[in-house]
Formats: sequence, structure tokens, C-alpha cells
Amino acid sequence: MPHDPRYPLTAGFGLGLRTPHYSSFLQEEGRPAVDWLEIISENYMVPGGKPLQMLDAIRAKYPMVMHGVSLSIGALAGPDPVYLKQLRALMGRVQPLWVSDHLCWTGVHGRQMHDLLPLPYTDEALRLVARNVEQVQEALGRRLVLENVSSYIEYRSSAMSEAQFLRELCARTDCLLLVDLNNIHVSAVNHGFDALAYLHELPPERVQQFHLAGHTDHGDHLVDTHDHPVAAPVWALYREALRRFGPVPTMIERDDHIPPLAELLAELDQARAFAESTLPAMLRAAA
Amino acid sequence: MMENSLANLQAQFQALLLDQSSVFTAAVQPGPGMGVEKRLAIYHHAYRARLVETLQDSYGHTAAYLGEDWFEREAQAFSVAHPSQQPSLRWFGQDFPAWLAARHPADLDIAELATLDWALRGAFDAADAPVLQMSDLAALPAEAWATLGFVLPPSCQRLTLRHNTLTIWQAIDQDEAPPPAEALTQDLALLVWRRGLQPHFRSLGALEAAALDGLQAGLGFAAVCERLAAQFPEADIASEAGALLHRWVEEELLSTLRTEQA
Repeated sequence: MPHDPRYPLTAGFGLGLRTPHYSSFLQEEGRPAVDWLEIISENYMVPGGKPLQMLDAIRAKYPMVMHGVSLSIGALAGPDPVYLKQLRALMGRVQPLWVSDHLCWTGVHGRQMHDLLPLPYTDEALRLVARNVEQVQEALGRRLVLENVSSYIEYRSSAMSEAQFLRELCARTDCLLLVDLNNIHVSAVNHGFDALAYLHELPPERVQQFHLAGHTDHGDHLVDTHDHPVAAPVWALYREALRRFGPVPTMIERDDHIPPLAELLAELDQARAFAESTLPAMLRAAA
Repeated sequence: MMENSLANLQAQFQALLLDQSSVFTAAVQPGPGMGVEKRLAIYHHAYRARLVETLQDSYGHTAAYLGEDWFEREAQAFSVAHPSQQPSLRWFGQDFPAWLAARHPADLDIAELATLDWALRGAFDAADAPVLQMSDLAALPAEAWATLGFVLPPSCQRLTLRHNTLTIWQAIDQDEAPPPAEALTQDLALLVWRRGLQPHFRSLGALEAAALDGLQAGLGFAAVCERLAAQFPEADIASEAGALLHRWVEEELLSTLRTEQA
């Protein structure tokens, strides 16, 4: 049995914590049945007031994972020490199951574009990102989990696929992966690659978490809006991912047009149902 | 710098997002379905859309006042002229009121409304602080008052309004048509702070404004009263100061006690 470097995978199905649902997660009776909540780290990097009070109250009732959007692991200048300090402070407060961000860059020359911009998949970028991941892991004292972003461009200079880049990055730095199945689908359609082949290039023992989300179909391309229910091809990819990676903690991620919580819980139930129907089959096949 | 170095690619991509001269297009691999220009337009649009939405969120009343199209034009122009320098979107737009003032010097009501929006946003998640209770004051020995000072909570901010911005803000808040902007004959002192979890504001009379400014400047309560007596010779300072203290405690405007060095 190869060494499995992942954080414990016992916590199964989660949701992204969004402000319209605060009161539901705080109610005393009939509390929503989710195993954990994922917070956007930056939303709680504030001095005080309601955001932190809600965070503490909800954390007292649910385990949490921290998901950042501004680490900019592809930044030439390396991770911003002020940001890392804020991240560490928040980790101390939340005691998260794990901490994730994205394989991307978010700005140069002291500017923040507040977008998850893709990297060229070159040896130069790999060396740089590996150096940055090591610095972050050193600063946080724990293994970093990195998510694949959806993209609309590829660089002429790329020398390997995104999945190969991630695989090599994991091997060099011991980091883990948050596999966003919607993002794979969106990028696969936009760039014309095979989403299943992408899945099969990822190292299974590194997959810490799945994101499921929706997108907007513009006919000749898809835009990762995270404001729709999970689409059928993404569910299909999820079932394939379960077969390949086993029982990985799974989350529905909705960032805009936040629906009533019941809708997201129903979507999460669908993920549970897929996992329950897919995994026993997988286990039986293995037996 | 190598043409395809990571440094160069990132600088060129960012320049393209910010409408600066850029040769990034040449670095992009043509793909199926849509052309390179259209691919880059997705990022170009997303940058603006995200920041406009952030500004709409932080400057809700200003956005309603200007209307959707005008506000969006202002917000887009600001986003390109003043890219964010902070990892968190929370602080994006800090310079928006000053930028609006410079852009619309003849309509400073716009910038003033934006300043009020930002102050309330600031009060919302300002650092937490203890709240002074009446019992804390009651427990003080009489001699303590000679050197006593008060620390105001970090959410506390003082604004000076020169237009009928408050009336405009309130009309917008009630979904009513705002009155025409007009300059005030006398400046209006405004206090913004957080009570419980909720941002609040209210206007201040001249005496209370002077008292709070004295406290915020670090003066002890006795020194503040002395200054008020000189500034407002007609007023009964002992009774005014007593009433203010009660009101401030009631409104969670005092945080902790401080002792002046004798």
C-alpha cells in the first residue's frame, strides 16, 4: 500500500459558506446536514464585526476548510508575507481541516487583478510554483491544497498539459489537489481537450477534495460563472472521478445567484447518491 | 527579458487587462471554437465586472444615486485607473470617494455620499472593542474623574458634510427619489460607528462634536469640559456633559476608561 499523504478523508460532503445562509447554519434545531463548510479565507481577513462573529459561531457547530483566492502561487515575487501572516492568523482562529488556493497568478508589480489567471505550463513556471509552494508550506506549517482553475486561453509556450503540471508539482512539493470537476469540463470544452484523459493524468493519492459547480454555456465556449446548478457532463465527470479517486470529500460551490440553502442541500444529496451508487460498485469490482 | 519568460507573459497579460499597450495576443495559442481576441475579451470583461460589482456592494447608495449606467462607467474607469493593491477585495475602492471628488468637482455631493457609504462599510467590520457600561462609571471613586479619559471604539469616525448628503442617503435608503443636491449653509458634523453588529450614524451638535473631537484627540474628560466651557460660555457644561455621557454609554460610543497622566 503506497503512503497516502492526504488529510483524513472521513469528512464527506460540504458546502461553501455564503452570507445568505448564516442563519440556517446557526439554528438550534434541524441544522443542515453537511459534514463541513468551506469558507473563502479573504472574506474573514477583516478587523472584526459581524463577519468574524458569524464565523466563530458557525465554526462552533461545523468543521471548516479554508479556501483562498489571493495566494497567487504563480507570482514571480513569491508569496506575499503580509497575506501569509493573515492566513496564518485565520488558520489559528478556524483550525481548518485543510487550506486550499488555486494554481494561478492574480497580478504582478504590486497590483491585484482579483482573477484566477492561468499560468503557462513550462519548466520555468513549474520551478517557480514549486519554490512558492514550498515557501507557503513552510510558512503555514502544513501541506497546501491547490485547485485547477477554469481558463479561456492557453499559452503557445506551454510544454505540458495542466494535469501533467499538477502531477509534477505534487511530486516535487508534496502538495495536494482540489479537483474542480466543473473547471476541468469548462477548460476541456474551451480548449478542446479530453476531460477524462485529464482526470487519468492526476495522481490519485494527492486528491484531497472535489468541487462541483455550474457554468454558463455561450454556445462556442463555456464561462465558469459558478452561478448555476451542476451540469450533466460535470456529474458524469464526478462519477468517473469517484471511480478513479475513491471517496474524496465533495463540495457544491456556488458563488453568485445564491439560491435558498434547500436547493444546494438537494444538489449535495445528489452528489451523495452518486457516491453511494458508484463506490459500492467500485468496491465490489475490486473484491 | 526573454519574450516568453513568465515575467514577460504576466506583465503583458496584466497590461492587456488594464488597457495598456500589450503584445500579449501573440503569446496565446489559437484554440477551437473561438478566436484569441474573444478569449482575451472574457478576461478583460471579467476584470471589470468583478470590480464594478465590488464597488456596487461597497457604495450601494452612491450607485443608486448615480443610476446603473453612470455608476458603472465611473466604476469601470476607476478600476482601470486604480487597480487593487490588496489581496482582499474588501479594501478595493478605498480611494473611490477622493477619485469621484477630483472627477466631479462641481458635484461634490457625489463624493460625499460615497464617503458616507465607505464610512459605514468601515464601521461594519472595524475591530471589536469592549463597551463601557454605566456600572463601570458608577464604580469609579469621585477623585478618579479629575484624570479620567475615554477611549472611543475603532469603528468611530467623524465626517463633515457640506451638502444635503444625509437627506439624499436617507431618501435612497427608503427607496424614495432623492432631493436635488444643494450646499448646506452650515457644515454638518456626522458621527459613524457600530452599535452591536450594526453600523449607525447620526448628526452632532457643535458642542457634542467638540467634545468627541477632544476625546478622540486624547484629552481627559475634565480637560474636555474645560475646553467646552471656554468655547461655549452660554452653556451649562456640567449638565450638558452629564447628559452626553449618559447618551454615549447608551449608544455604545465609549469603549474603555483611560487615566490621564497627572
